[in-house]
This record gives sequence, C-alpha cells and structure tokens, in this order.
Amino acid sequence: MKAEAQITAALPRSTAARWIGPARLAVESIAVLGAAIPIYLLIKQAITPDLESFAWPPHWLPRNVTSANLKSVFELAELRSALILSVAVAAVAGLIATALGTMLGYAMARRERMRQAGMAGVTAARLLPMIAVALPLTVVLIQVGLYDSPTGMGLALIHAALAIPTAALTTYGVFAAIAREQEEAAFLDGASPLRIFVAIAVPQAKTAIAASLVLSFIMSWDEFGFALLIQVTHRTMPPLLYYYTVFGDVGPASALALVMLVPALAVIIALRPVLKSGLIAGTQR
Amino acid sequence: MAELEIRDLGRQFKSGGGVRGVSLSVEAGELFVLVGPSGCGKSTLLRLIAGLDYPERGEIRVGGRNCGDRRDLIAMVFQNHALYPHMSAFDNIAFPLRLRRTPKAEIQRRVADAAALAALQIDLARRPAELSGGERQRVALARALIREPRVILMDEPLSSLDAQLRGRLRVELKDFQRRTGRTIIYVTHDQLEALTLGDRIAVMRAGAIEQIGTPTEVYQRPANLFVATFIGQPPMNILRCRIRPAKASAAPPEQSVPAEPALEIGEKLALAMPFGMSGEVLLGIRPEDLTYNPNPDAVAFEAGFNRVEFVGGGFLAYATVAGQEITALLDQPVEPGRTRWLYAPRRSLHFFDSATHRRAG
Repeated sequence: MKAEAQITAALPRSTAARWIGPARLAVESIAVLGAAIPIYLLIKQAITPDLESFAWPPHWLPRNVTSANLKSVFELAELRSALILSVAVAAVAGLIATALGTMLGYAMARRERMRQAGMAGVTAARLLPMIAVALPLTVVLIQVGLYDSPTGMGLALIHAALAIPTAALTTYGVFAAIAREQEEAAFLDGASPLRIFVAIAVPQAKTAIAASLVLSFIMSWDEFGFALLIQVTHRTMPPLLYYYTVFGDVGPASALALVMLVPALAVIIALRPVLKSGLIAGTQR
Repeated sequence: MAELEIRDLGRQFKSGGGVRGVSLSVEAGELFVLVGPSGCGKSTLLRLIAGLDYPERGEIRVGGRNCGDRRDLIAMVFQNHALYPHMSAFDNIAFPLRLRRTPKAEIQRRVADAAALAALQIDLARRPAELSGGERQRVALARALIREPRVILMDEPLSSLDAQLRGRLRVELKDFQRRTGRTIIYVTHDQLEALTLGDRIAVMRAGAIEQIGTPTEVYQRPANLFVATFIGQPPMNILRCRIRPAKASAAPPEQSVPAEPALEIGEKLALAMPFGMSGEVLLGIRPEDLTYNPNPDAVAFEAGFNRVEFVGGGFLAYATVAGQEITALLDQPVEPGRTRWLYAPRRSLHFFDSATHRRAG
C-alpha cells in the first residue's frame, strides 16, 4: 500500500523530469540566439562592404570579406582619437567612482546614519531625471572650462558621479560582512582609522572593489547622453557610432561597435565568478 | 598597588543594558574572571576597560595611571578570535609590531617567542581559514602577547570551541598564566569555567557586581540568593521556611493555612540558623550536599521523589520537600513515588533573608 503510493507519487515527477531537460534546452537556445544573432550581424557587417549590408534579400552569410572597416577604426584619425578618448574617460571615471564609492560603501557599512543617508541618496539619484541635471551640469562645466575638453575630463567627472552609487552598493555588502571585532582588534593593536580601512577592510573587499572598478568603467564606456551633449567636437565612441549610423556608414559603425563590445565581453567572462556569487545583485535596479 | 583599578564605573545604554557603578581592583599576575548571565554587563565592562567604549562616569587606572588611550597597556582576545582572514598567522601576530615599525629581525624573533608562549605549533604561513578552532585561539593569544601588555582581556575566548577542546585549553590557559604571571581579565557566562579558571571571580548581574571573591568563597559563602543559584550546577535548592514561634504549642490558632507552602523549621534546623532570624527565611542547600546518610550533625528533610536521572557520577533526583521542588545529587537511585529522608550537614546550609535576599550570618 505504502509502496504503491510512492510509485504513483513518483510517476508524474518522472514524466516532468523527462521534459525538463529538453524544455530547458529550448528556452536556453532561444535566449542565446536572441543575444547572439545581433552580435553575429554586427560582426558580419563589420567584415563586409557597406553594399552587402544593404543587400535585399539580406545575405545570412558574408560573401565579400574585407578588413577595411576594422582597419579604419584604427587608421581614421577621427575614430582613433575617439577610441583613445573613450578609454581615457572610462579609466578616469572608473578610478574616481571606485575610490569614492568604496569609501562611501565603507562608511555606509559602519555608520547607521551614513547607511540611511546613502541609501536615500542612491534612490533619489535614480529617481531624478538625468535630462533635468544635464543642462545645469553643462553650464557648470563651461564655467570651469571642462566643457568639450580635449581630454574629456569634464565627461569623466560626470560619469564618475553616475557610477559612485553602483560602486558604493557593490562594496557596501562586503564591508558590512566584515566582523567589527576585526577592526576593534586592529584598533587595540594600535592602528589608526585610516590604517584599519587600508590594511583590514580594503584587502577583504578586493573582489568587490575590482568589480566596481570594472562596472563603472563599462558604465562610462557606453554612456551616450552626456557624451553627446558635452563632447561636442572631441567625441567619445558612443556619439561617434551614432553619427556614423545616422550618416549610413554602416561598415565603420559596425567595426566601431565591435571594438566597443570587446571590453564588455572581456568583463563578462572575467567577472563570471563574481556575477554568479550574487555580489552585485541588487546594485542595478 | 593594584594593576588595574576601577572606581565607580558607569555606562548606560538606551536599550537598558550597561554597567552601573562598578568598582574593583585586580592585582598583578591575577586571573580575574567576570561571570554572569548574558546581558549582565560583563562584556560592556570589558570593552570599557579596553577603551572600545567610553564610561559616562568613574575611572579606570592601569598600573596606577589614568590615561585616555590605554591601547599600549592592554591587549584583548575576542570571542570569535577576530583574526584578520586575509593575513597569514605570522602576519596576524606581527600586525601590532608592523604598526610600530619594528625592525624585521626583531619581528621574526618576537613572533617566534609569542608563538612558543602560546604553544602554537603550526606553519605560520597558513591563513586563519586553514586553522582549527584551537589553533586560531592560540594565534589570537600570540597576537595579544606580542605587544607585552600589562593586562590581557579575554571575552569568552573558548565559547566557540567544542566542550572537549574547551576543557583542554582552559587547563592550558591556567598553566600559561601561572607560568608567565600575566594579569588576565576573563569574561565568561559559564560558572564552571569561572570556578575552575579564576584566582578571583566577580559575579555580575544587571550591570552591577554581586560578589567578588575566590572561587571557594563564592561557592561556599554566596553573598546573596542570586550568586547562590547562579554558581553551582545543578543550581542550589532554595526552600522557603517559616520559623515556628518559640512556644508553638501555646499558640495553636497561629497555625492557619499558609498561603504558600513553606517548610516548618524544627529545632535542629533552628540550631543551624544564624542567631536573630525570625519569620520567613530562605534556606539554600546544594544538591550535592544532600545524602541518605543520617549523620549526627545533619538536618533531615522528608522528600517525596518524583523522578530520577542517571547523570554519570551519580543520580540526580527530583523531589518535593514541604511542597517545594528540590534536586539532590545522590550516589544511589531511588524509586519514583517513594518518600525518604534526606540529610544535609548543618554547616552546608545557607540562609538568606527572604526580603533582601542577602546572606544571613
């Protein structure tokens, strides 16, 4: 009787189990294809002449392969300087955001009032329409002489400001998990507050700090709105990509997009363990 | 002059905890134990001594000096060891020296010394995560020792270890303290640990010290009802007693029905009592002081047995005496439901005032 009940209970489960594998495969295939097809088209457009990109009916496989588009990214002065500027802006923005965000995250982890203020600030910053602050910010940049700067430092400051909440939230959880007794022990051992932060807290948050550096780098790397508004003549890559697309230069635009994709893909692969750990879950709402 | 002197120390928390007017002094080379139930303020007191928190009133003197920053004089071993997980055992122990820019050769030498003193026999390149609980404990001790502090504070350092290891480390710690003559203030909630470890112990409750004394003093002459029932396992039995008027037979109407069950005190028990007590008193008897043996100097109690447990070294019997529950640690079992006489030596009895709960006599 008992065994019978077990068998009947087990039956539907085994039927379900038989379908779970294929169902999962199907769902995953659709998801992967959805992401992969645009990237494939991008690659195809980047390595074929413009004419082929506009062919009708569209070719699924490249017929004439050319390296001209990719070469142009590194050879055309306009493209090359955009690439260099984007790297510079993203690097500076990433470093500033990570340095300040890490300190904010630590303060939030250790002071209840800072935590409340920090959380409120992050939420408020997200609710604020960006376009509302864009114009005043532009005015400020003009006043301090960083508007459309050839080094892109005005844009870097704005990107850093945008990325600070992410950096703070990414590191906050890790700092909060460090036992307070460790810091008290360090205090009794004779360490100053700065020393405690540098020698005890930061080393244990290394992974989170690296993650926030990468995240803020990427945030700046593909930021479009402020880049379009502020770097009017000295352009970074996203606005340039936009202009190329608008003017119908699909080949160079695709090649540029491909170059932009490289750090993002590298980051996703490098950060896989961090992403899996859920460390930065909740920082991107 | 006392190594550590605390006078009228006060620190209140909004949540209600804290310490209220604590005074004590610890001699050099003494192992002083602060013991009490959780929330009694013992850890708060330790943190105040360490300088991790600040008192609202009172003062703390170490070696006669009253200084604001006591960090050079004091080291602390935390309950969870508080080792730095990203550093090797060596770097953990060396951390205080590195902060003081000690030369490399001296660091090497002193880490080796401290590790030897803490009986640490491991590869010091290992990280805390790769060490056992006992090894971590020793690393934490070595880190505390390396600064050569005048006073070492320990906040339940053994409570995160299993019972067997805890017992062994307790013995080791006592040996270490005797050998090195360090002054140690040790916080625990475990009364047995306090009794076995301490040169003197301070029993705390609700932010105040209830009694300070050697383990035998505190065990044999508890100052009040709280100390009596907190120290000792199984806890001391407390029986409510009513002293029979001197001429009981002359006043039969006095024998009205008592509201609460109480033991009527006979002549023999009255003889054991401190002079001058009358009315209602609380009688304390340790379970281990009760036997079946009618000793000429003993006081007898008629006990109805309810339940008996075998506890290894003997039998723990739950019985009723004059309507009140007691426990007795006996060498032979007894059938539940039976009534037998239990005897306690007269000098093993404790009397407490029923109103103030203070020890009488």
